Amino acid sequence: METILNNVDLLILSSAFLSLIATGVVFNIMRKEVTPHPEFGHMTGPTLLLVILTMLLFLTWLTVAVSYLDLGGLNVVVAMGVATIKGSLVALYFMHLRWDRPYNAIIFVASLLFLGVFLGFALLDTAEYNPSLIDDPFLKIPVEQYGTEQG
Amino acid sequence: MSQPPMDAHSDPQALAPPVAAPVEATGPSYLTVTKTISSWAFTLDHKRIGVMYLIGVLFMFLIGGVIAMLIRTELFSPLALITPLFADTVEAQADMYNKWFTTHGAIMVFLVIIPGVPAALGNFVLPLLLGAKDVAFPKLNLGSFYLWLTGAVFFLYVLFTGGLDTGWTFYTPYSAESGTAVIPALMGVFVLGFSSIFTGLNFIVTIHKMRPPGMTWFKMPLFLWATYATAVMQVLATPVIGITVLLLILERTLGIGIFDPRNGGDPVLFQHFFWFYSHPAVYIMIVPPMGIVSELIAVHSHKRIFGYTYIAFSSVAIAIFSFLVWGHHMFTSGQSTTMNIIFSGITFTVGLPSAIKIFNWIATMYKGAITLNTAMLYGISFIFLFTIGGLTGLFLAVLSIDTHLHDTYFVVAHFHYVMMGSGLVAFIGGLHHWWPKMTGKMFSEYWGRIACGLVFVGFNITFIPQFVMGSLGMPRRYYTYADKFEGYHQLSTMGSYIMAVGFFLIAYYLIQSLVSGKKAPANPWGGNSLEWHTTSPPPLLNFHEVPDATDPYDFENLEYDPVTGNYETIKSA
Amino acid sequence: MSGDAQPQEANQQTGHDDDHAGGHEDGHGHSPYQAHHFDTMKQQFEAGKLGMWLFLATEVLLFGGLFCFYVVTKSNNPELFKWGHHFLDKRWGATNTMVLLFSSLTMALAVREAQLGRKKRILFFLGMTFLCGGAFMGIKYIEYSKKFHEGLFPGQYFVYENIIDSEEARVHQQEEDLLAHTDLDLPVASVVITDPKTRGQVLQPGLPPSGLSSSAREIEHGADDEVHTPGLVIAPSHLPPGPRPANAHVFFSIYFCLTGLHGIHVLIGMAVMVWLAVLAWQGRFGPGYFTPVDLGGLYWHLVDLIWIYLFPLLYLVE
Repeated sequence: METILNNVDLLILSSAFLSLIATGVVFNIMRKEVTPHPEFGHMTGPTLLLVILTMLLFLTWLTVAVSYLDLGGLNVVVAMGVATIKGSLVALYFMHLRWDRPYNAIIFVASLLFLGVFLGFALLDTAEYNPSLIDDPFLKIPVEQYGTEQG
Repeated sequence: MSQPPMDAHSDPQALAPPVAAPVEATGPSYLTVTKTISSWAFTLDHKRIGVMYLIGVLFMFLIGGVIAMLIRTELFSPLALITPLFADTVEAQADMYNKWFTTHGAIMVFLVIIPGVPAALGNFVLPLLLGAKDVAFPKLNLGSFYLWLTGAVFFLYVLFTGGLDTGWTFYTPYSAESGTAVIPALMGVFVLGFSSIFTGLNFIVTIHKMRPPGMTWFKMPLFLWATYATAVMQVLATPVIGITVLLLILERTLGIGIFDPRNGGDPVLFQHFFWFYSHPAVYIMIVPPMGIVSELIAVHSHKRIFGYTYIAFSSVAIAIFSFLVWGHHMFTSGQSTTMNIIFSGITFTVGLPSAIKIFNWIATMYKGAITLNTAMLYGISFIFLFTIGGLTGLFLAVLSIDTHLHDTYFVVAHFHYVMMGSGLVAFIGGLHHWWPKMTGKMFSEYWGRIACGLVFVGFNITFIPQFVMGSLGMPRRYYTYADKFEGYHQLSTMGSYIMAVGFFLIAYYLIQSLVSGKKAPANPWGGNSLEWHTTSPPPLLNFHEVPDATDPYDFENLEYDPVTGNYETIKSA
Repeated sequence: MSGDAQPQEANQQTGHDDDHAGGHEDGHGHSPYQAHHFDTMKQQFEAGKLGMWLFLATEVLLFGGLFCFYVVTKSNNPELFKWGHHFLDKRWGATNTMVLLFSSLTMALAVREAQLGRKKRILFFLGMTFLCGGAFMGIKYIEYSKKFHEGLFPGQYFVYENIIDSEEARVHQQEEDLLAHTDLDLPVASVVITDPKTRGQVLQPGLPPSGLSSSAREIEHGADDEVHTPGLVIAPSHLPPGPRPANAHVFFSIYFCLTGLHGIHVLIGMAVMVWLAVLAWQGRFGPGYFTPVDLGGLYWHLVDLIWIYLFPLLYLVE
């Protein structure tokens, strides 16, 4: 018990198992209930929602666990990759995109794409001109000569 | 009543095809149905909201225009002419000048041109074009208007307390340290940004969800395509200026160290943030006016628009490409060479869709039955002025040329040609085109044409010398200049006065039409989009009988009745 | 800050238009929640959804600017992040993540209950979501208090070096910390038992699992002195290995901007929950009309989604 409380990784993992158990329980209860279909929109079953939560909690555990390892540049990739999977689960199932008109998903993805353009171009730019900046107490990158780069 | 046309297809023995009864007002219009102030202040009717926006936008245009006249008068001579009336020292006079061009720019960009066509005209016309009763979210629409009003109040506050002298572009580090009313101005921009976002959101949903049966995407009037493309830009780009002004406010107050080098920040990053919105913003300013021009040219040439699909797709292409070229405002800022080249290259391609539209409009006019109404004259002026504005933009896209022309009067002339000579001109053209529909009154065509001529001639005299000056090296945002530029400045100032007379004349005859203008028929110009199939002005719920979706560019079945001045719809057998 | 973005809620409630001339003929047989400019409830619902997704797109781009701040600063100053991330406790972050994920579940269940029209359950799940939001803000409060206590303010108010005098003192503190945890003979080991009924032990009712706070100070001052704890004890941050960079405050500017704007959105979301609860209490929701809950849910899920990205970027990646 102490170990679990001391170590939050295990806390997350145990939450995940708890929710898995809750899924089973709810599934058993719901087995006899007929899920009505609304006039419009789509109703998600509670079992599915619990399954998704379990997966999300598990992925959280995974990303926290990996963060304790030192994989160099790969750390960011794994962290962002797991975050994207978690985000996709939330978007597709909790936010209903799986059963919605595709245009809603297109809007969301488009906003992410344009954000990517913004971040990408800004990053490309700053990475290229940053080494040519004049040394300054606030900048960590010292410049050997004053104004080395042309243009 | 004129005889129906005889052609090889109609049976001479058949009954004459029925002529649709002229649409007459059989009840109160949206203007007269209720008359209390609160019925306007709390209205959910898109037409009333559009009218309120129109009044607000035109009022702010007046303020921005007066400041422009102050600027032009001041620049008549290298010596200070007007600023000594307000300030004693040379430094204070220069500061005064800085405040003038900043507030002129900020008011015109954020309060007049960005909201202008979409909010003032689009709000009125959009549901009518769709045969709908209102926009998708009427309460949000009213909210957008009050947000605009709040932004206007912020800027009026700025005007009266200390002004703003950072330039409308708010570049750091100066904007982080300027002692003027920067934070209220930034808050105004934030609020106006959300007004714009909610308008765009409303329009996208309306166009998606409230088209009538039979009106597929490719049967919509082109103004709707333009509005849709603009709305996409509004929704995606405007939040970035929102976060930019928030971060600038934090930089000023907390010194967070994002944009100001003294706190460890990067001023070029500010420019990236700022122009990521402000470049799509300039397309937000031009694409709806282009939509208006499509309508003006087609209707007043009584000819089907040429290349409908190309014009529709070009609006979408402009919307997408507009997000990829913002760095062309930053060629000399310290941006890396690689990005300079990338942005320059893409900027060349973004001119293509606009050029496609110009060719299509000219092709529409060819062999059309052109009536040179005031609205049409503005449409034709657009084509001429936008060609100049667009081509000079291409000069600025060339890296080597821009190195010399950046921050000179060449740039000033370029953007006035596209924003004012094209954007504002089309706005006024649209205002004249839909004036009868909005107000139920006809204005004087005679004075309309004269005013259009004054504006057109005055505009060119104002800004062509500025192209020349700029290429000779006259910098922008300077309160004084070398003597060699004096002639150009004087010419430019004189042109601005001619333009001002033109604008006041427009105001005069439009207001006069409200008082004593002729009653407008339902379809004074012979358009076939759905707004012309209801009374002028429309009833509260837009249509007495909701018409079926028409082909908006089919003018075959319209017949002019000289008695009523109305174009009657003739239903062919 | 002015003009906080309001979630765009379904504006389809009827009945209060001043200039709704002609009134509402009930002969159409449509729902009282259908607005006059829509033809069917389905059209109204789908329009509301589309509008909400467009609003979420704007929120993505709003936060996107802050992500750009993060990304550009990190690319130019990697050592700043190596230094700064030591001050962020990933255990709090992970707890917050779980809280928000759970709240997303309860929100999705609230939407389901709204579709079924079961008023009590709607209120229950909305309440749970609200509480989770409160828990999130509570943990945020703990984290922020700790930062402010250590002088880690954003921007020009950053005074870290002034409050903590020397690194040696902090190293000493850290060593004592470690000692406290490894020494099982100390009565403080019983501190982790959170059973309030146990007597004769130091009770810390407000204390989260001991991994999240240090009892080092209690050891020094004598745990048996106090029967009743004044409040939560917060461990000092783990000492970063390297020297403090000159632009250290920028890291915290980024941290506070990102988590602050996110926190504001959580608060707005909680206000939305309250509003939805009022509507649910009035019995408005059922299979024919559940749009506000659905749209409020979308907003809440976006807040969760943003945190899913914030958490690794701030807490896990260095």
